[in-house]
Amino acid sequence: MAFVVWDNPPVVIGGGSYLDELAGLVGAANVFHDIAAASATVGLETIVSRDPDLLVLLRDSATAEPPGFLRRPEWRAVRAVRQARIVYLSGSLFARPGPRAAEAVAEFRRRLEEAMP
Amino acid sequence: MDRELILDVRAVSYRYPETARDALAGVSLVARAGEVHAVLGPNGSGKTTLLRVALGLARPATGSAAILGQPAAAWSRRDLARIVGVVPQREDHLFPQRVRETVLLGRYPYLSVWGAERPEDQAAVDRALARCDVSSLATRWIWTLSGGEYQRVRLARALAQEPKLLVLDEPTASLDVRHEMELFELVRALADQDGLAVVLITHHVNLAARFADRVLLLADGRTAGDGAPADVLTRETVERVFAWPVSIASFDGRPQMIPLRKQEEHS
Amino acid sequence: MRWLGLMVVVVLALALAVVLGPAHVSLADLTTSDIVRSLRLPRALLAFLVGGSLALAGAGLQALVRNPLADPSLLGLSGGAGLGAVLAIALHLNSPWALPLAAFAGALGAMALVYRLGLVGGAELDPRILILAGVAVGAFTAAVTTALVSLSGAAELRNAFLWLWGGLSGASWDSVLLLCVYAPLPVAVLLAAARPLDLLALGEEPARHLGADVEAVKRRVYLAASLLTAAAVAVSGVIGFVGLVVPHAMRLLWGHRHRPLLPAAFLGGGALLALSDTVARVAVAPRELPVGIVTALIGVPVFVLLLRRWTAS
Repeated sequence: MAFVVWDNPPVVIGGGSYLDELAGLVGAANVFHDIAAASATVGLETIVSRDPDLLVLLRDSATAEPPGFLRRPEWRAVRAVRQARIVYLSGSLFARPGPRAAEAVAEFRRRLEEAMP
Repeated sequence: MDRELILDVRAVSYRYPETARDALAGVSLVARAGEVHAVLGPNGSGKTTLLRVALGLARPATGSAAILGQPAAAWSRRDLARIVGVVPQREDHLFPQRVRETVLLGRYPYLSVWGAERPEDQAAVDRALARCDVSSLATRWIWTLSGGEYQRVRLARALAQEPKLLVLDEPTASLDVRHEMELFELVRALADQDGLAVVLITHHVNLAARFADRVLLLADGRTAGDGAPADVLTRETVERVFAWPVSIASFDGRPQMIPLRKQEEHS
Repeated sequence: MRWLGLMVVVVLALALAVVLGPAHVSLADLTTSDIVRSLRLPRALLAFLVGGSLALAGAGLQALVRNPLADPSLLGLSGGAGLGAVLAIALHLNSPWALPLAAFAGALGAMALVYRLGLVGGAELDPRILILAGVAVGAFTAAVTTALVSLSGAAELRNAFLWLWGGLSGASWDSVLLLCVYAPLPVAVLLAAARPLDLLALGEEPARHLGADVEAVKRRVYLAASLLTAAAVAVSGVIGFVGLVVPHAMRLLWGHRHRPLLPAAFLGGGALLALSDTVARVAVAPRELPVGIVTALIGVPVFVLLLRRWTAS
């Protein structure tokens, strides 16, 4: 899986970040675990070649509609986008570690299972 | 046989926006092929404004300015540039340029938007360079030229336009005697041998008197004298227009002005 | 010979952009790889078109405002584009093309404002005032954009700056085709103005005496350069220095006549941006540099050298 923070340029979550740890806790591997920065700009080509099974999108707002960029032709090159394997996490629970960390792990696990039965 | 009428400016007046006074009032200038006209007058007397009106860059409030029978302002710049070649007083050289490139700019009104320069354009440039005796400078950079060479190159550019009328705005402003004379001789020859009509704005009263067929003397935007040099450049008129005491001598049948020192004033 | 050399550089730059990338694609798979076909190839072509447009616009602009150090970023369009982009994000416009369209609309708005301010007395276009107006409009829109971003809590808005700083991540065949349809008109208008621009370098009155329709030339060149820049900003954000440095580099090779200079600037600018984007993609792979950083790293030293030459003479 890959955490996508922004689409143009694509910004993903790297290793040593809270979200990367969360992914480890729920038994999912962040394909950008090797990048030693909390977040980093990468090429779309790198996302395609690392071929995550699903994308996790972080968003401020609780809008239900998927973001427009998923319909852009260059993003269709990403398998997870073509297969519509997208998980949305809202900021408040997942932005930083805190007393609700256990809740975050449980919520994250539930979402992943929904997306990849 | 009457020579071809080229420039026909009749009683033009012009006032710049938001000014109280006419910059030009009732001025006429009629130039035929083979004639050299000198336009004289103190700074601010309307010489350059007259030029702008004559070339259709400013519309006269009254009177008319026509070139080859058509109102000057009605010509497209491109068509007019095939009739009139101008050596402006000042121009910029934003980018370095070679002499031949500069003269080639004179062919602009003959070139199509996408087409390259044709052999006849190169031939016209060669002729213009030769006519102004600057062929040997063709590959030099403009900024390496002396003042006299530079003016002859700009004259060559105007000739590359193959004009019928040549307009020069103070072409000898900063030249020494030899280069000044060379340029005036060349201009006279272009009128006599090539049949060009020439309008020459200058501060050199004496050179104008020697070389011009007719002199137009301007003062405060009005005609102070218009005719053969000997008729216009009288002591009274020159003193009044230039506000300085002078004595007028005669050389080779042409009037020559000698400005007087203060203590030499006419008693 | 020079043209052949330039064409070789162009082909080489495009070839490198297709062959090199953070993902490994073997030469044998080059023609069948999805990464090459749907990502690298359109991105290389978009970089070429954007770089060419910026360099061509820059060359035209330098002659128009009679300042060899002018750059399309002085037109004030990027500020307008940034404001448009931030508004699109703030208003949650969710179409796939919302961002570039809003940026384009913002750039056009800024262009209209600058153009109006540049019309002295409502009639003549004064290029010096045009540049001042461009800088003023650019600074004002940038201030409004920054205010919007810093007053809003949304992290998404801050990301708009990432976009604005320039990059070709949004490249797709759609954007390449769009530019291929859009660009030819302004490109043709600029190329057609080559000879009048030679005349304009002498000054407006001398240019008129030589037969140039100066007012029409100034308007056409300004509008065409602005339209090209607006499209470039809309698809790739603000990419600096290509429009400034490439025309100068080409002047060293082709001289100052605009007929060879303008097409050379287009090809050279395209090659430079395609190369810079390749460097941006592979230099720190798997991460990616903003391409504007690469063009600035190349462009600023060249600019300083030019400035020294220019002030020395």
